[in-house]
Order: sequence, then C-alpha cells, then structure tokens
Amino acid sequence: MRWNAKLLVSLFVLSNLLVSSFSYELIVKYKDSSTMQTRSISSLKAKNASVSNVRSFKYAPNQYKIIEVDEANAENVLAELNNDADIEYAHPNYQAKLLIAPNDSYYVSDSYYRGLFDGYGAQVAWDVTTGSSQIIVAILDTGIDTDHPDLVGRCLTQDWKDYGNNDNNPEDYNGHGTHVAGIIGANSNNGIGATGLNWNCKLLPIKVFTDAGTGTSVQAIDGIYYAVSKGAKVINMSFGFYDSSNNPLFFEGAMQDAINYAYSNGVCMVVAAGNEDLNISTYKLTPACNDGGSNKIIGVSSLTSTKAKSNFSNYSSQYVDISAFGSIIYSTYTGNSYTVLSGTSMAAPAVSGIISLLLSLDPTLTPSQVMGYLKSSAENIDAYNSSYTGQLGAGLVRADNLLSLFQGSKSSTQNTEQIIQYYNYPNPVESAILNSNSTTFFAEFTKPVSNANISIYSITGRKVYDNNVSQSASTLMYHVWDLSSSGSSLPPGPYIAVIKATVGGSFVTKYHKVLIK
Amino acid sequence: MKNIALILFLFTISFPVTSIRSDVMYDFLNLGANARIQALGNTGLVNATDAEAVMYNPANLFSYPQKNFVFSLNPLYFDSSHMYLFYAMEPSIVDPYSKIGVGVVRFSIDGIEERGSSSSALLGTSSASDVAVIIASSRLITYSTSVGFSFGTIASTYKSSSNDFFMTFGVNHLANELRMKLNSTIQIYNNAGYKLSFGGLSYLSSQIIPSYVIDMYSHNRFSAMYVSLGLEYVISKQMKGFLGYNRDQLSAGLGLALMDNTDFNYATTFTDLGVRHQFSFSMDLTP
Repeated sequence: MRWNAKLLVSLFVLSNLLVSSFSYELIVKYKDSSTMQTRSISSLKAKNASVSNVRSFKYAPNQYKIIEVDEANAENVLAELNNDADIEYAHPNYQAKLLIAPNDSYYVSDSYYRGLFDGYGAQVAWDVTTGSSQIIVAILDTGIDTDHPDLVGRCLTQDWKDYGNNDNNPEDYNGHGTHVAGIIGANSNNGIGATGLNWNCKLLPIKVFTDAGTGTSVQAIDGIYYAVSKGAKVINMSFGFYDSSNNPLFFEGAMQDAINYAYSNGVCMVVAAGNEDLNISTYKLTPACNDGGSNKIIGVSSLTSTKAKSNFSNYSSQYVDISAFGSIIYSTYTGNSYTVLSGTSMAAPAVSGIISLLLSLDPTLTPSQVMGYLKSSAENIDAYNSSYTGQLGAGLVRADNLLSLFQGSKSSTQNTEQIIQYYNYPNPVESAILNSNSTTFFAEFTKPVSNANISIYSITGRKVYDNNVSQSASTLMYHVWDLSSSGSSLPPGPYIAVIKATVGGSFVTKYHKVLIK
Repeated sequence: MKNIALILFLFTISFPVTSIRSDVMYDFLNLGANARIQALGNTGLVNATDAEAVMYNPANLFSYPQKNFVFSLNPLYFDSSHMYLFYAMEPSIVDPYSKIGVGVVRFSIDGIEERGSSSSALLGTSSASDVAVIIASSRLITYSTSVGFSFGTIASTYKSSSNDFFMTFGVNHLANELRMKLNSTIQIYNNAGYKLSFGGLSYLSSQIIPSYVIDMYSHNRFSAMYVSLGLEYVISKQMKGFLGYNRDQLSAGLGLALMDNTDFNYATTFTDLGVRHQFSFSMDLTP
C-alpha cells in the first residue's frame, strides 16, 4: 500500500506536466462498508482541514467518492488516503483533453499523407499550440497563390514584394512557392485539401524568382533584408546556387552579410540542402553552406516516409542540421489546385512550420536557442540511414518532442539548478589514435550565458583539455571537441568533463563522464 | 652496412605517426596501490616496499619487504571503485636471493550516459572497467643491489582494440651504509612508448624520510616529465604520517599498525575533481 501511494503521488506530479490543467479533486474507492466510508471521510475531514468537500458520482456505485482538497496539501492527502485501511485506492481526477485532428479532406482520406504528420508528432504538438498569427514566416520563393482557398487570409498582402519581376505582384505563376506555403501554413481544419503545420501564422510572400523559376543572389539578398524589415521570425529558403568558380566570396560576400544581419536580428533561416545527392561539405551551395562559421542557418535534408534519405537529397555532416519528409509531398498549388512534389524544397518548409509553432510559444527565442531545441528534440534516424550516419543532421524533426522539450525546460527554469542539462554526443567516443575524431558537448542553462569553460580530466584528476567557449548570450551551448587537436591523442579510458559558467550571477559547475573507446 | 641501413629504415617507417598522451595511459594504475604510496605523492618507485612493489618497482620486492599481502576495495568519486590485491613470496627456500609476486588491479566506473553520433537522445547508461594482472620477480645481485622484472596485461570492457601489456625493468640500490636508496625503472608499453623513472629516498633520521621520483614519458612526438615528492614521518611505532606532492596534487595520509602483522593506511588527495579518499590494508602472511 505504501508503494502504491508513492506511485500515485509520482503520477500526481507527472500529471501536472502531461495535462494542460488539473483540478484538485481526488477519486477514492472505498472498501464495501458504508459505515466505514462515513467514518473514514469524517475522520479525514476532522484531521485534515485541506479536505473541503466530498461528493458522489452521479451513476458510479456509492463506493466511489470525489474529494476536493487544497492544492498545497493534495499530495499529503493522497498519500494519507492510500494508507487508510478502509480505502482500496485513491488517485487524482485528471482533466482530459481531446486530441486535435484536422478535418481537411486529404488529411482524413489519405493515410500516407496523415502518416507524415504522425512522423512529426504533429497531432500531439497541435494539442500544445496550432500556432500564432503574431508569427510571420517569410517565404523567399516564386510567390504565393494568395487566393488559394487553403491559403486565403494567411498572406500579408500589404507587405508582399516581388523582386523576381521587379513589381509588386507576388502572385505565383510557377507553383513552387505556393506548394512551400501550403506545407508551412495551409488553412487547416477547414474541411478541404491540405493541412499546414502551423494553422495560424502569417505568411509573407517575397518573390525572388521569376515565373520561370530563375533568379540570382541579388534578389535573394534583397529578400532577406526585406523579410527582416517586416518583422519575419522565420525565413524559408527552398532554393540554392552552386558556384563552379570556387570563389571564396561566394560564401563570404553579400549573401553572408545578409544572413549575418538576419541572424543578429533574431530571425531563423531554414534552407533546403539541395537535390543532387551530393555531399555539400564538398560540393558547396549557397545559402545552405552560408552558416557563417557558427551554424547561423538551419540546413535541411529530405527523407522518405520510411525515414531513409531521399535518393535525391544532398547531405553533409557540416551543413545539414536536421531532416524532414520531402518525398511525394501533397500541398497547395497554383490555380486553386493541389499537387504532389518532391525535394528538399518540400522538407525545409516542414521545418519552418514546426519552428513557427515553437516561436508561437515564445517569440523571444533566439536562432541559436531554436537550433538547440530543434537538434535536441530530433528523432535518431541512424538505423534507417547506415550509409549517411551523421550526415543528415540531428535526425528527423519532431514537433511533439520540440514543444515538449521547450515546455520542460521552461518549467525547469523554476529549479535552483542553473545547468538544466549537460552531456556530449556521441558517447562513448571512438578513439582518435588512428583517425581524427570529435564529440560535441551540449549544455542548457536557465539563463543566457556568454561564455563557459569546459575542462576534461583523466580519472586521477589530470587536466588534459581546457577550452573557453565564447558565444552570443544564449541559454544553449554547443562545443565540438576534436580529440586530436592537441597533437597527441588521448588514450582510451573514462574521463570527466567539467563545465564551469556564470549563470545569472551564480558560478556553477557540473560534471559529466566521457568514455573514449 | 646496407643491412643495418635497411633495418634502420624499416624501423623508421614502421613507427606510427600518431603520438599518445602516455602520461594518462592506463590512468587507473595511477590511482595507486597501497594508500600509503598515494599519501606519499605516488612515489611508489622508491617507497613501495610491501607487496605493491610488484606494480611500482619489482626490484623493491626483495630489498626490504615489510608486508607481503596488500589489498583494498575502495569506492571513489564519480561512481567509480578501485580494487587491488598483491601478494609476494619467496619461490623456494633453496634460493633465498629471489622473490616473486603477483597482483591484480581493477577499476570500474558506472553511470556513463550513452548517446549516438548524430542525436542527443539518451540511449542508456553503461559501465566501464579495466583489469590489470601483473607478475613480477626480483633477485638480489649484491648485498646492496637488487634487480626486478614484471609483466602486466590489461583488459578493458570498452575498448575495441586487443588487450594491452607492459613490462617493467627495475633496479634498487642501497647506499651510504643503507641510509640512502636509489631506484630506477623503465616501463615499456606495447602501444604507448615508455616511461623512465628515477628516484631516491634518504633516512634523514629514524623519524624523517623524504623521497622524490622523476617520471619521464615518451611516445613518438609526445614527451612529458613530472616530479613527485614524499615525506614520511614516523610518529611512533604504531603510527606514521605521510605528505606528498604529485603533478600539482597534494596528498596526506596516516598509517596505523593495527596488529603486529597488519597495517591500515589512509590517503587523501586533493584534485581538481575533488578530494579523493583511499585506504588499504597491508599484512604479513608469512607462516
């Protein structure tokens, strides 16, 4: 009985995290005697002032009672009830919530299409938020069919821009941009057509391609600055340019300046990795490879519905941050129609849509924070991609995990613990004796930290690595440790990685075990 | 001459290009055997005179063995534990000039979080452990000089490579009417170069015994040298105090003679990872 009580108390606490609201009522089942019921309830009320009311169910047997208790003493009362010899069990009255499932016709009728949303955990995420109209997602593309019944009312028509044709008509006559827009934010739960990942965000069409689908970096650069000026929180860029001349300015010039500008203004940029089945660490393209040396943009690879890399998708251990479904994607199209397209162009807007859900909960999140949450909540897809391990970013983007992680970290900030989590991956680490090797340290703090120190010690306490990690003030920290950077490789064995940081005026230290194989 | 040149050439190109931080190789062995040695700054080269000499300097097995059985089972920081057991004996009454010894050292650490290469998701927790088995022999070659040899093999639960081994050659010489001790070893690892050690100890009085050890590590491009210092103070017949310094770490300890044939030793070591507490028992099991 004592263990049952502990279990129920744990469930009681857990329920606060899992359900959106909780009424402090307890359901009690008595053993069969009515006189025992009376005595037990009376004694409980007499002993415990926090029990304010007792009532019966309407139709359930009289053996069951509903007890109202003060919030502060709920756990104690629950434990007391479960230790009462007259009571078979007691547990909280959980408040149920309907899972939101959109009624869009294609979502209802097509299990493949619905399965992609399930892969993102979208239905669970929509229970948390379906998005906010305060969040603007800029779409740098071929424009948007703003009259499409599944997009009508969602576009910021007064701010739209056409850099592709140098006019102010960003209507889409190509179809690409409209398809991208539908993935991010098609009108949902309206009984027709497609479903958007974000049901409420505003879409800002910035046409940077001609109707034939051609464009140059000039339009793209202008489009980025314009999106920032109009308050966009996310910029989706489902395009790329290769540079055959290997000119370094291709990745350091005006495009990089524009990306740096957007990043410094707190705008998340989501970019398609390209569709040539190439490793873009070698065959670079812009803007996917314009990370500015510090991961300023979110590069997206494409997956099939089985979570394997799409055969066309580019990949990279350096420039791809996350993956999403991009094969055979149904979405809105020009002429009030719908169609199926494939490409990393379709994967990137899924990530943009999911990020916009996160930003609906907290628009103040910085791009580095978003990146941290995104990567930390991704689903490991190594098992489906043995030939591309580490080349498809952190894995499949998961909306449910993302929002859950964010909410969990927000509630954790109430704790006195200043470092919420601290770990490295992979762990164990392969030895660097024969090949260069690295591992990434990640830390999440309760408050922004501009620099932290990571030191690594052998098990007897010999310092073998020391690095000051400077970054723009953020609650998330990433640091890649190259095991062979000191010139001599560390031998296999267990090591202790110590992080020290000043968080909100307090100096904190945390330890973590690293194993080198 | 051509053959010599060819051998030298082959020797040169067979050298691996990677160098290893051999000063932290098999670091669990640096946790020490016999807490007294840890308290004395890990100066086992000269101060290991009980059965733990099997690991530190096999030549010392013969020179002045006090207790022929040493053991400890010691929980340490970060969910780790350290166990060792050493035993030394005379192999035959026919040959009073030689001794042999054997020892096993085990280190384990629990609660290592496992994560994959591209995802931060926690896959589970695991443990890792290392076990070293060492055998040694020592022989007295003059009344004041002994030599020793030991061979150790190390197995680890987490390494993908095959087992490692090491050999130690040691010399122990007593000088100045046995009031001074000069020791040296060379320890050769099968895949991490070698360690050359020199050390000395002097009986300044019957109560004060300072000691020092110089360790030089080398593996390809990596080299390092460290100095360790120890000071033993004999408080009484039943009690000794220890102080030590070893590579930026200070240590101290206490030795108690519990019975005629049993010592209890305790060491505390101050490290950047926190304070380490270690203890051990030494016994004389000679019939």
